[in-house]
Amino acid sequence: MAYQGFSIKRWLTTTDHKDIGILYIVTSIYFIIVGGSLAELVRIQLAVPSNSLLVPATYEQTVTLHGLIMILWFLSPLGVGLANYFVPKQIGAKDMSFPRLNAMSYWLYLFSGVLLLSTLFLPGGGAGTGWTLYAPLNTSLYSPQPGVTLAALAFAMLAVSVTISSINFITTILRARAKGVTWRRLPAFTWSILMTNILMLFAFPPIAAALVLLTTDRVLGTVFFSSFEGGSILWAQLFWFFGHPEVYIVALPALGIMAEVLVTFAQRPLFGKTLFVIELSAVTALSIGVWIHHMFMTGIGFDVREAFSLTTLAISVPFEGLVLNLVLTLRKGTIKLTTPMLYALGGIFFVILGGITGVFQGFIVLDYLFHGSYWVVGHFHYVMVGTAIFGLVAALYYWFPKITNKMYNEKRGKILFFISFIGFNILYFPYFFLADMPRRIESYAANPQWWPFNLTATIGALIFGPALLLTFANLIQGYRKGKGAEANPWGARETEWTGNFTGAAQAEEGVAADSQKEVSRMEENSPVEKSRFTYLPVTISVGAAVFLTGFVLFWPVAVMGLGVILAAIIQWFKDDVRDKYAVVKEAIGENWPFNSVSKEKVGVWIFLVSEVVLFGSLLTAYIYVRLRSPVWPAAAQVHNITIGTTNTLILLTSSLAMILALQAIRSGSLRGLKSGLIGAFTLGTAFLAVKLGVEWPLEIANGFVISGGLAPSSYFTLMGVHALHVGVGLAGMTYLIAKAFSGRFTAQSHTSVELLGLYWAFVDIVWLILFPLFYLV
Amino acid sequence: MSQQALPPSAVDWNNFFNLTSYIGLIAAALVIGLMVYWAINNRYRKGRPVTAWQGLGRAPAREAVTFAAISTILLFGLAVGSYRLNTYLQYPPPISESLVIDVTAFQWAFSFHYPNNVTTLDECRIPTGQPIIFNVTSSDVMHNFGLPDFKVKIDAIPGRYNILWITAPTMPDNSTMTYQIRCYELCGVGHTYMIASLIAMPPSEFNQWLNSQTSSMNMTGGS
Ligand code: HEM
Ligand SMILES: [Cu+2]
Ligand SMILES: [Cu+2]
Repeated sequence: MAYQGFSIKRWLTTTDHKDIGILYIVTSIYFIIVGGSLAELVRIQLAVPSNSLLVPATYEQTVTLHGLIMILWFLSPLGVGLANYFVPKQIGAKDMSFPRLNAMSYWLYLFSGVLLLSTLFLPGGGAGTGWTLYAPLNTSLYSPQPGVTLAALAFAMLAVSVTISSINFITTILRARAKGVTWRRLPAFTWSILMTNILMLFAFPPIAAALVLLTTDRVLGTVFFSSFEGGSILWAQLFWFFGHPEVYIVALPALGIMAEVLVTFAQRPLFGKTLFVIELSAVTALSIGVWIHHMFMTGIGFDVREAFSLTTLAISVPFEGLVLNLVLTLRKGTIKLTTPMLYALGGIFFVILGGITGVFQGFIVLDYLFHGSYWVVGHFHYVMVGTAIFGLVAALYYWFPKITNKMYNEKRGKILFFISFIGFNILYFPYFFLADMPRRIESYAANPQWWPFNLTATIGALIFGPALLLTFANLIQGYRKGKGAEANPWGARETEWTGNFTGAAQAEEGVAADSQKEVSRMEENSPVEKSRFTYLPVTISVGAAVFLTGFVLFWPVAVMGLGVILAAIIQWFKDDVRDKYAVVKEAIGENWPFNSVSKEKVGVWIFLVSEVVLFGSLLTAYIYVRLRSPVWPAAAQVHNITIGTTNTLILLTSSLAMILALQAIRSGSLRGLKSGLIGAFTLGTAFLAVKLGVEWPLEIANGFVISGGLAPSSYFTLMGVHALHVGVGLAGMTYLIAKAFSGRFTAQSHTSVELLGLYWAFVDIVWLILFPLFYLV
Repeated sequence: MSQQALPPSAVDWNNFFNLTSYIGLIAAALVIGLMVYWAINNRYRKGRPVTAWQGLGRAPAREAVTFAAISTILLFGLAVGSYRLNTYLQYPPPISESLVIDVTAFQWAFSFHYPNNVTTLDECRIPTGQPIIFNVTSSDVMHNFGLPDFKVKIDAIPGRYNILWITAPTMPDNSTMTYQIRCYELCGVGHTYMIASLIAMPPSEFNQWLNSQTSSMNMTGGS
């Protein structure tokens, strides 16, 4: 490892991608142990037709937490952890593009998980709604316990973490590739991570939007999910627009890893690498358009269902193409069946069965039986546990010598593989015989014919669970007692092992293996500059957790949390003004087609994409409930169009001032910058003051209150989210003004002004869409 | 259940499932077989020559196109079959020929409302041989009205009416059959026990039963 010894301070403050990768990996393994224990409880409960181990409420909370933890706090974070460690290494970047944000992603992830687990200890317990949190069971009428609100907020906090990290990964891969790492030569794993993060960017804002609406429902009395016009269908649409891509978010990194492992241990290049990348892209693109297959039984239109049945079948073509590429790589290979190779082959076995059962469900006729049953549970455990976990374990073994410089015990690894593989099939194959057994039931006394299959599954669980635990034990044992490993014990040819980014040595067999070993060793031991340690990411994340807990349980605590966050952000700005942090140098080599755009700008553009998706989701929800409502109050009756228009002008003028400020500094005028910024700030503040101080009180006085139906629900929620964005913009301006007054902007160096200018323009455009939709129609 | 006594929806389902399974299993066996064969046969042994790394010049366009074509044809062929069966399930026979029953799911039971205002709880009696149209809704959270023996189900959603229709087969000996009705959507702590029965009886017996019920709130539990 890069650092010798253990120090709490280092782990709390590190921004190094390898450290953060390790933190992600270790934390996600902690979560699988928690989530796996919950699963064992479920299986033991179901070993016999009726069992008194878990009472119904506890049982439902157990399956809910199990699902949430495994998918969101274990599977995808483990992929992110491996990506954190190895994507920069594969592309020859010194670090991620934004190391401090990278640390913040991790800490937000960790503390969101802590919040989620803590819901179990609240009065009434956590959510008992299933990981899909279906409406209206998720509303306070049917799930009054505060644990549900906190779980929703923990989920939203995770969405923020994921969004930040996907911006970081995409920017890094676009901008920080070393010389020689062209798109053509980008390693398969990095490709899979790029696609995963693109999906995250599109999938997580909608769920964040849904969770915002759920929270306002539960806390402020809006009626999005308790009304008929919104309700079950609105939730299901938003959830599955996120949920389906999420399953590919879980699967793609595993497929990328399998490609790496197969190539290394078959000693062959990946069969049809270009094709592989095309298929990966096709799966990514199509997976945004299949979500309705989770809603085949909701009674939505026949044609809609048929269309989504076809897209679902269509996605299986490139998906199975990926699998074939992997299998065909073996054809002329010389195969070494090491532990990681066995896991990769096992993962392929599972993805074939899981994919085919998925296709079955894609046929609506068949789904009439499968939906809501253990067949579906069987399908997705084959892909999620089989493909994803086996793929990720393959990665842990494969990269183990690279991370630890030690070797694990190969023999134990192989034995545990066979036990896991067999245990897995005993556990999940019986589910395909339970296509009539409903999911999420805690007893089946009325259907004793299900008993043999359930008992078999439980026996499988008692084999597979411990085998997985021992697998982690084997890795820990290898770390503590293992023999030293060579730098490239597998003779792998990918860049993270060879450090050879231009591919020069690949033409000749076995060239310069020794010198390559030196390179990677030296790189491992290079110390990281002091200036890259910071307490701020962890502080902000703790603050966020305290804020959310307080928000749900006890308001004064929320204020405390908010204080911590603000103080930390101010400190962050101060550090920046003083240039305290060493900025990771930008690459070095390949960044086509973004050669002339700074990484900050790329980052902000990607961020704005996620913002567009967020507002798009909120607006879609608004338009949806509005179109479905038989009556809707006329705009002119509830809103004061004069105030609205005035405010529009104020915000537009503020944008103008911002543009003037930007032009001024481009031509070097610090004075022009200052006055422009102050103008923009003043006008922005005026906008908020009018909105919150004049307009809202007037409307509320007229009886237009947030809990008064869908019209005020959507108005106050969307306007509130927009106002929050205005507030963030104003905070940013405060920073710019402070920096401008200390004279730190010049014609050459004023990136942050450019970035805020972009953001401010975006906030303006959103207003220009909201305004007519609320005030004019 | 004897073979001739399967409801039409289940017969269709079984046929389509079997067809899909044959194709799916053959495809799976082929790919898994190849994988295992190569993994074992090409295993590294002393003296086995390593194929040159650079050996793969040609882009595998032909394989890719062949594979895509075959799987597209198979999948979309099956999709046509699925479409036809799905159309059958989607559009019930005319109301004049059918019995329409309003189903309301709630935490944690089903109530059934007949055209003559008879209402029953957790027990739905129907005549065999006649199309039955269920008009399904929920009065609280989302549930699912599932008839596993008929291989069909539909969500019960507050504020929405979803249609599901079936025909119960006539038994060879004209006997009465009891099928299970279950909720397939997690709906709270009573989800497990949200079970009702569907009792399919010969039409004459059914009419007798229906007429014997007073149309006022008659909430029979078990009989
Ligand atoms: C060819 C590929 C695939 C196809 C055609 C497919 C199709 C489907 C369909 C139609 C459903 C909905 C079934 C229902 O609820 O009635 C479903 C559910 C699901 N699939 Fe897949 N799937 C595929 C691959 C995957 C992969 C790779 C994963 C994850 C790694 C995955 C995870 C899931 C999950 C988690 C659910 C259930 C969610 C829930 O209801 O809780 N699927 N799949
Ligand atoms: Cu899906
Ligand atoms: Cu129910």
